[in-house]
Amino acid sequence: MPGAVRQPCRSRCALLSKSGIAGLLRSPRGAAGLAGLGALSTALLLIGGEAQAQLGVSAAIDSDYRFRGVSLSDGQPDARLSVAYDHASGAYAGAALTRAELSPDRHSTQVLGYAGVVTRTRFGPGWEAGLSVSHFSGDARYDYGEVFTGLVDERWSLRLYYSPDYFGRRQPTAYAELDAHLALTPQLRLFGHAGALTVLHSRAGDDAARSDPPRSRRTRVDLRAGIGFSGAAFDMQLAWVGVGRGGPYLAEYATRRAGWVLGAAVSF
Amino acid sequence: MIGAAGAVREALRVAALGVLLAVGFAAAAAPSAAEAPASAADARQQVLVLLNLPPRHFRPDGNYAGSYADAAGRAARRRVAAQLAREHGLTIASDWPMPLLGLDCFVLNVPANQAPAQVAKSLSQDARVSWAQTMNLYRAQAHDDPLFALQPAAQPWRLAELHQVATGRRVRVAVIDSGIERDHPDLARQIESAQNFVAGRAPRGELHGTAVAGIVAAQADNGIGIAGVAPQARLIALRACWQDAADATLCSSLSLALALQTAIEHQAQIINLSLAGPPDRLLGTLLDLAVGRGIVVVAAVDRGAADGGFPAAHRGIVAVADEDAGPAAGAAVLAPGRDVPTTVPAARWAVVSGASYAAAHVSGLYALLHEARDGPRAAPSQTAIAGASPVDVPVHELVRLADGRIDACASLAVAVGSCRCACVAANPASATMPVNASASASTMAPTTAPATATPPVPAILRP
Repeated sequence: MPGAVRQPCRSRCALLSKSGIAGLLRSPRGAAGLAGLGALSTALLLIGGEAQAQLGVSAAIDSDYRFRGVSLSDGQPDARLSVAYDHASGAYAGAALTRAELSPDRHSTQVLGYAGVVTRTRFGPGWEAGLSVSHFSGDARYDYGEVFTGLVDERWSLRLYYSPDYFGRRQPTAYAELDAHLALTPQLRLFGHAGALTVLHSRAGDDAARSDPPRSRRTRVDLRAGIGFSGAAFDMQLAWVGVGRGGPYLAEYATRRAGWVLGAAVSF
Repeated sequence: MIGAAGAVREALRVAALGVLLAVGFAAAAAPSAAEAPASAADARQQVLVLLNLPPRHFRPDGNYAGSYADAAGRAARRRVAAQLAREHGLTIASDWPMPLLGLDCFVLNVPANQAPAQVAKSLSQDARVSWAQTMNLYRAQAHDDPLFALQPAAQPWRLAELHQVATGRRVRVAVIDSGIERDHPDLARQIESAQNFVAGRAPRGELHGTAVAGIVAAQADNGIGIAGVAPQARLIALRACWQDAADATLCSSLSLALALQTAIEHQAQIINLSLAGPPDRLLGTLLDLAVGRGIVVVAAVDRGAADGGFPAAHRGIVAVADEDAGPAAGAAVLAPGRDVPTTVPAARWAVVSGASYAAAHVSGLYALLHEARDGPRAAPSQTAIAGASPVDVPVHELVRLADGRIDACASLAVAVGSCRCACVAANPASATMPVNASASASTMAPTTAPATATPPVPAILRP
């Protein structure tokens, strides 16, 4: 079983929770609440949306649900339903429903809500900031939230994420990712991704500190590269995904660190 | 550790993925309905509807550039466009995302019993729409009269001397025009990339585009044909125009917009637009973007239009007219445009005339200026040129004579910061200009005198 021993945080998180977003992000209930808030804000935006606002719905299947290189579906195919809302001002929100299997034979549904704002510039990259929260029905120990900021250009994006309680492991983490794509034709594109997740530190006095991986193994790098095809209402991707050994592993089962993933999505 | 059975399973799995992907790609590669208008008649009965295209941002389902969620947004915009089409009795012809502008451009067919201008006006008032406009047509600015080919050749610029200073090496010039003959012996090595934005007409070499490309960058010293103004520039051949049956070369708003967007994305340093037509908001927005990014956009003047026509009259565009036709509207510069020998299809050469070719000369000259600007500058003590201090001179400047003609040699000397080409009396007209007029280009012998010693200053054109 890769990674450190998982630390259920149901009791300690309550003691450590603080007011504000950071506190909410640490608390499973808070995360669940924020996930609901994301969904609610989406609904509100829809109700009061401006004329140029857009709502997109998509259904996708992947041969493996890889999140930052790590399989959250035990290497099995996975389905996802997403709704995304874009406001003309650059504000956006959305939600996604995904099947997850974070430990053997324990199926759960991940409800992910997110919201953010992105600026648009014609002469350089735009700036983006937002937050996302995830709730796992049936196993709320994994609930967590993240805030992020970054630069977004037409062909690339660079983002930094911070989570005070990554997947409920009571380990604050930072994640940096660089994504880029190259359009070969209007429909065909190559894309690449490099990310690095690192455990920042465990809180002083925590039991978690004792279970921290050694400093040399606190960072995990993940890579993804592939080819994608976009049609009028569907999208396909074939990608190679690879991930290193370091950092916190989320799932409690052995998983291949590299492999091919095929995905397809239909939009409505 | 994966055992033998696991390895086999893995191999089968990857093979299955590949087959699935191949089938998917094959299905998806079927011809799309998204095509630019194939004829002028089609284009005249179409409107462009611009919808907001949100910038890329965080997506939870993959986050990777160009992920599924982009398809969801595209589907959302198509839904809006379909609603608009239904409400106005139109049909969707195609969809062209323009991420540089933050717009998604839908082309809608207007029934014959409706006026496109009225439809566009009505659509513009819809709150779901950023704006709507008619599909305008643009005409290449060249003489169609075949007898022009029999007239005396135009006086060439002093290319051999210019080329001792610069040849446009590694400068990318986007030629947005009709099809360029890519295997023409004088052009075959000059084209970096090519794209076709005219649907329904197979890509081929056409007269106007091939002639413009040859003037800009025909290969030099190959023992055949001509030498382009910038023979080592790299051409981006963007076919946005087509040779019409009536010996005219036409382009549409959409095809030009797509080509402009591509030129900007490919980081062209110079864009040549040897064409003119009515003002166009979509094209104007793209031109503003190009100029804002420091791209030099050169356009031909339409002498039939009071202001020189669009895009020549647009802000920031270098407007160029044929110097043999006399002064032109506004701030247009004059360049050789009559009886210019150049490349034409079927691996031939011929002489051509028109403002289109004058514009091509200036695009080539700007390629030389770009290279000269990027090269090593001379020391300040050696750079005094007729009172102008090169270090204060922006790169995109042309030295213009009093009658509006360009002094190519002086322009290059200003850009390079020294007088390495023999500019003295380079142009007979300039040699006869009054001393206090903008004919000072004729006095540009190498000098170490202080810049303030001679008051006359060349007329500097800023695009």
